[in-house]
Amino acid sequence: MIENFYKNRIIKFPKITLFVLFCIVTFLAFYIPRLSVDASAETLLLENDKDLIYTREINSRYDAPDFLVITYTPDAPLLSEKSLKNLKSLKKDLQSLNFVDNVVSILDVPLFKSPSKPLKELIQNIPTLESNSTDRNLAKAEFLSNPIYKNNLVGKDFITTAVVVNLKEDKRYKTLLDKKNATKKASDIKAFKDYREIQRAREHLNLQEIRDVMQKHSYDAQLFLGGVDMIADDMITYVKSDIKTYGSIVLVILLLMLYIVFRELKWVVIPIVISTASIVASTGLFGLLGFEVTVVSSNFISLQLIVTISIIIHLMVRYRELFITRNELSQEELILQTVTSILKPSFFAIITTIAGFSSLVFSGILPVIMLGWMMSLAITVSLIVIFLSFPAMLVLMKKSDKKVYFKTRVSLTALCSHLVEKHKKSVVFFSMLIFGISILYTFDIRVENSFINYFKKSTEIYKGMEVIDRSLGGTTPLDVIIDFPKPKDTPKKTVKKNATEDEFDEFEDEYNAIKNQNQYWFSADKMDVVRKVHSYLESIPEIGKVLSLGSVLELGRSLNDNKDLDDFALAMLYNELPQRFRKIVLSPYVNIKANQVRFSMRIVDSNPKLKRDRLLKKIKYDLVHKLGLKKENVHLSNLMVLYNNMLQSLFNSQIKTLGLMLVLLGIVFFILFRSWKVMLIAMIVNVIPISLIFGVMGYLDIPLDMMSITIASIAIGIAVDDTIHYLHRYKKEYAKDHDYVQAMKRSHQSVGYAMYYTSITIMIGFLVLVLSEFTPTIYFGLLTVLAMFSALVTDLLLLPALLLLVKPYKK
Amino acid sequence: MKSFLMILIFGVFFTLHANVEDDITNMIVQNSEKVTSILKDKSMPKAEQDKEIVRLVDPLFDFYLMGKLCLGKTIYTSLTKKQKSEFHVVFNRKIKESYINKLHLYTDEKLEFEKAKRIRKTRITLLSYLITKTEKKPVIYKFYENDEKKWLIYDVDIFGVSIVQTYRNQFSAALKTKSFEQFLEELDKDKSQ
Repeated sequence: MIENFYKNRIIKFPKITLFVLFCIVTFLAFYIPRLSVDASAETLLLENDKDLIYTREINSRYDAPDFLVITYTPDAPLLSEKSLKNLKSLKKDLQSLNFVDNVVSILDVPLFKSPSKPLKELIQNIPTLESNSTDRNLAKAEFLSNPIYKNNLVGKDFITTAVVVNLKEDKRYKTLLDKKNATKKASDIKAFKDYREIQRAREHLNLQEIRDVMQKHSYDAQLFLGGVDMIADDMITYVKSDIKTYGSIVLVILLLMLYIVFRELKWVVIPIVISTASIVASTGLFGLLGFEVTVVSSNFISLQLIVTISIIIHLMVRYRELFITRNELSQEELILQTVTSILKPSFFAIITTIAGFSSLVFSGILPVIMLGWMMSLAITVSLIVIFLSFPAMLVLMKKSDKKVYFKTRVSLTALCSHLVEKHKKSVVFFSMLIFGISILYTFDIRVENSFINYFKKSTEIYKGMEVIDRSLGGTTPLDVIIDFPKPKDTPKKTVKKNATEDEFDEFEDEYNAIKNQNQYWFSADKMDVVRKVHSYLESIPEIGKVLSLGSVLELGRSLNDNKDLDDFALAMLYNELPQRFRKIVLSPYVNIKANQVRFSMRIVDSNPKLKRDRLLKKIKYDLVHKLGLKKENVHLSNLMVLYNNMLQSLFNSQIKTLGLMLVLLGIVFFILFRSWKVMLIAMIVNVIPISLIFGVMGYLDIPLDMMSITIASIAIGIAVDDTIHYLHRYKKEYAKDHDYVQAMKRSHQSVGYAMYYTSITIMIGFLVLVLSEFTPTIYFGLLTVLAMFSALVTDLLLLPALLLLVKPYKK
Repeated sequence: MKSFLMILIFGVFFTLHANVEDDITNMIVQNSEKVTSILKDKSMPKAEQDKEIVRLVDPLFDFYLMGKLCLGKTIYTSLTKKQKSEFHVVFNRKIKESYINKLHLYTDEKLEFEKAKRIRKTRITLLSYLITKTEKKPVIYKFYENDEKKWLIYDVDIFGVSIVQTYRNQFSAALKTKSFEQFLEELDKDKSQ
């Protein structure tokens, strides 16, 4: 049936076939601009994460605007006239940007001890660095000792200061996000996505404007930009630029490699045209379907390229093999035989790869699910495009008169078959040894999500984040939220009353009526908890800066002759504090209505000893077991928790999906080869490259994170293709003379070359990624090369060795 | 005739009441003037100032009732006679210290008094204002009439914060985790509040 389809349709009407394909691809190409790259924090979070819902709730409850941090390191001393003048001018320029709400710097924060004044005088007129009465030497000492400013607004060395740029709240974004999350209606999702696109472009421009301002002020000082918004924007920029730059370099190298190997222009043109058409078609299809590329799925083009080139090379090698061995056949017949003999293994290879990627759909993590869908669809598109366009294109070309014999040029496959023939047991032994060692190193894999390590040390974002980490209190935000137990209502006892007790009751009623007023919330017992939690959190070395009501209490103590502020003073402070200071020192940390306090922290992302999951668990454990808080009253929130949740579930899902992937592979192998033995052999051969990838990651300390998590799927995708093509061919060769060794030799000299060429071409192409500025791209390049290499080695050595040892086929 | 009698009776009644409120207002105004002059007297050592102020304010306050109110009915009625008397000794000293400390913070500000107001049969409040350079801040003296028909202060609300209510919060919180003896010991030790 397939043969007839090819004979009567594709080969007979190649121009029509190509035209129809061209029309479809062109149609889909129009949808490419619709495909958006989304690397925002939102996409990296788990959809149904209860911590995400909690974090959103906390963020809306406390006064915590989005902000960017500019680190400012002047050439002159920080408090010199020149530095302050420049800082003032920088502040003025930033303030004039229309998206900036306000700018906080050392120039405008209140100074309480420069010089010291009685408290009531201070409250009436709080001085700043710019006030006439301020003594700069005292101000320096105050900046370095004030619990809110030290290691936050100024670095310990007093060389660097932070300029906090608070951004105007985007109410529309929040409204649309809330609506989308609440209704999950398609129209609301679309409205949100459309707005987010506009907002992202605007954010990008805003960052550019800030950078322009920084550039203007960079002559007398070193300035870096940091902040969560900036990380997201820079990641998108890197992902996009890597796709553009390295995508095209990889393509050029593939062209060169194809020419070096096949020495004919058509063998360069055909794979490139087909690969490009496949990628264009699938990218357009994703745009049409409203998919979004996230940092996790940004590798889909590379993956599709690998799989597509691999199939085309198998077709090309098979065609050339038939061309040499059956030269009497016409071009049409050669093509027909090529396509029909490769279609089945390719189809199964694709089915297994799709099975592998579809297992990602069960991960429960949206970006990973999307990667699963995207890869499955992309490979299907490739399969269709290849098997329609390859024969159609080739039939339009003349039958070549060149005869290129592979074995005269490359003898590596022959060397492999020789090695297997002579040392099959050693091959199996060494493979098992490598497997064992890899498994051991697999246990060293860290599940970490370090933003700072995504970027090379030479990049601006790395330098900025490092300065913020080292001098200004850390990068990734983490909140600890403590609920206070609800006050119990005074029990009404029915006791015998006398006249005095009646009078007592009158007073009791009077005080019960006012006891819940806000100013009385600041009781000594609550403040004790705040102080204890604050100093515990400050004692953790991985935490950069802790800001909370505890900082305010410490400041109050230092202004009150080193005596803690009592309930009366705190109630007074609450009532008397001007609104603008309340917004800075109270509302970000206290919510009286919710009867809870917030400890806002930043984690030192560049600390190499940082183990994020362990740190979060330790904080929660210690707050309950060492500080005696009730478990239900302690909550952790903010980005640190959300990213960690995603990573942990990525790790769990990786194990889950790998298990599922192996089961699916087993089923497909069994259906394909109809033999338990062959199925097991194929499974063993495919498990080793995966274990090697993980082992190398463990050995080189490459953390498993949202960027590297897809490598295992790629390894499987690559290894499986080679295994299926090899076994399919081997079975055919074995049927000829029932000689295991000869079948191996013939397979190595035919399909072996295709596998070898595919691997070499792709390995050299992907090595280019090592030059990227973006660490995940480098790891992706390295690990893909490793996956290709290990798949090639296991399929050319271990697979035949096991076949020779087990002898699974009946005579 | 009947109506004349009625007017006379009500007239006397209102006059009597007006007298109490006026008396209270006058008493506090005079008292505060004296206190202010003591506080402004730089030649007088602080310890002596404090002693003089206590002498002046002592007869105006019912520190015994304040102590009871600060502990709250439930706790207070559960105490033994001995505990109660020990508590009152400590609390009396503490509340006086605390009140005087607060007075020391505001030596230069002017005070303005409104006329005292009866809010219930046995309650009168006197609203005063502390005048700072920029604003007027309310200080309310709360009076009650005791069994001996004497009007005494049982609480002062400074800028919207009641002294008694803050102590109630503080004491009830402390007694949730400490025994009464521990609590009393800490209260006695802590001179800052």
